[in-house]
Amino acid sequence: MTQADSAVAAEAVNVDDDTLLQVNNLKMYFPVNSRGIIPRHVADVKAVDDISFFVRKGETLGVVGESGCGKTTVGRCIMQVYDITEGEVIFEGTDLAKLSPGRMRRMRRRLQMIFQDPYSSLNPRMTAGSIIGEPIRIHNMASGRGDYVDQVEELLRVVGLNPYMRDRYPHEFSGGQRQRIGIARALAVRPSLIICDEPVSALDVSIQAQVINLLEELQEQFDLTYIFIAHDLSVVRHISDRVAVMYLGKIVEIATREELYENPLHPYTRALMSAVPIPDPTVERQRERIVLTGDVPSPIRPPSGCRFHTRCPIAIDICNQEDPEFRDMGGDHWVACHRV
Amino acid sequence: MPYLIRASRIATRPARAARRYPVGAAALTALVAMGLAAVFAEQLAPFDPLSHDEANALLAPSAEHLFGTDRFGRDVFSRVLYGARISLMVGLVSVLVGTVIGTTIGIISAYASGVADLVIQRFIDALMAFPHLLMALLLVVVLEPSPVSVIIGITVAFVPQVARIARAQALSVKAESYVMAAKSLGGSPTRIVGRYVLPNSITPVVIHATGFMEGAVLTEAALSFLGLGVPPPDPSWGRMLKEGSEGFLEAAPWLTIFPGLALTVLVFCVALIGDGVRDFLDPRQ
Repeated sequence: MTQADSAVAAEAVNVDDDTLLQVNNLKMYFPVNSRGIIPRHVADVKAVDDISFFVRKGETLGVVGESGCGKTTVGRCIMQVYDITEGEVIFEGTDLAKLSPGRMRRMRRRLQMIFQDPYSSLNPRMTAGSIIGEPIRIHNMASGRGDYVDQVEELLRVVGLNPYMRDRYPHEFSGGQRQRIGIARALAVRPSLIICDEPVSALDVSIQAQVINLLEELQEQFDLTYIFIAHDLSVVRHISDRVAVMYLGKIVEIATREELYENPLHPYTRALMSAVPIPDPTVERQRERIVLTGDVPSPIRPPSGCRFHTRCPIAIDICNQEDPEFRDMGGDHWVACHRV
Repeated sequence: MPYLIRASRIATRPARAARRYPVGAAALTALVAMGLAAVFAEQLAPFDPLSHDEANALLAPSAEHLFGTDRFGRDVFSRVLYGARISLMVGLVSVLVGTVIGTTIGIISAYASGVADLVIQRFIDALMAFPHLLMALLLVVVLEPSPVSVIIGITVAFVPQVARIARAQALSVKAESYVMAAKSLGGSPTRIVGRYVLPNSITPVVIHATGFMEGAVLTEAALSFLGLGVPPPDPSWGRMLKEGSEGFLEAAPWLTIFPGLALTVLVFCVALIGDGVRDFLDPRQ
């Protein structure tokens, strides 16, 4: 999609009051430096390369893709953990990329993140209570010691932990409990948007369901909007309203959940869908599986034209020459493919 | 903090701690005894360590003079007691100051990254190119001879190594996702360094600090042996070794044996305590 097109699309969406977050032409390049006493910039890892999407208030946008496709980077770019290379991240009408560090710090009350690894995302030297209370202290949200303790205990209760656990250290909790602490920490500032970066990937399947259910209850209770990043298609299907599929730093397809799972248009999405096993032996035996050959190309030197053409089963000549436009196929279904 | 809780448990149940870390406990007891002896040297020493008594020069160890006397008739036992003051003070102060300065530099360097890190690290490379004895020697020669300049010399010699260790550790802690979490919560850089990076980087620095203390004690002795340490007449084990080795090695071996033994025991105790600290701080135990 060209600059002009996306600007038009952005304006069209901005008129819509329901939009909470609008990402325009986001690029995140990580420099690769030569080794030596004085490092030299030799190349870029194009982790996220010119993507645009929006998230409506109260919905859950699932983001799927294989390892290294840039989905985690997108989340971190929205959080402004990285200095983005180019593009706009418009959240509640403000471009986060243009905020000063001080204003951005205050803005962080509005958007929060839940991390993938519940073991490394909690400071091992802080108690559960002080981990959850940290955002309250940072943003001076408690009126006094008593109020602070009340808030922390309430947050523990909300995520299904016992208030007496607040004096324990992270290593004394199980993985699922630690993820609940991470969720309570994100909730502490009463944000409107929570970016869930593979929040259940590190957990046992039985615990995954509990955490997913908790996230859904909290969404209802606190009017939350989620960006749910994951590689597990069934989990994403369960929790998302709309789903974005990423491949090598690009969004290849966005659609509502039903539309994407029933009628995938992009060949990459189709391949992903066909990799999900169906729990019915008769159907499973009969259906056709699309198996992709080859490896994901390097994001340092992505293929010309459509980035998927090297592995695409239906690629034609134009695919290695022209980057396909991100087109609206109607009914909130966007896809970037020449063959559709 | 888990370590503080464990430390307080050890403080409240010394008997159990001693059974768990018997060697470390014994070494710590010995070190504390030496520390007390140094502090109360005035009360414990049977003679004035500085007063000459030529009539009783070069006496072999006896009930009156436990470690014998030197060529001026000074009591070696009293001098060893007073000498412990210098060794312990130089060891403790330079390790403390060196660790604080080195950790600060290392963590700032790691957290700042980029050009600042590059400049600081090249500067540290330059400092580390000197063997630390040479570095300390150089500084003591430039400054006037006094216990303070010995401490400064040794501190400067050890700061680069502490900074390296602290930087390496801080770099790995910085990449942990709890640091990113703190950043995304809106924590200021001071808060992130103070509450996240520093507490999680300090353990290996503390373990190495005991090694630096051995080095500091030996460096002080070496400087004094070379005549560049604490100026006479204040007793220092290094200078006692030097005086004893100048023609008295066979005639009066007690002049070198006792200060040498004191030095060995002190360094050995510090090393054993270092092992104990390592075991204590190891989360895998």
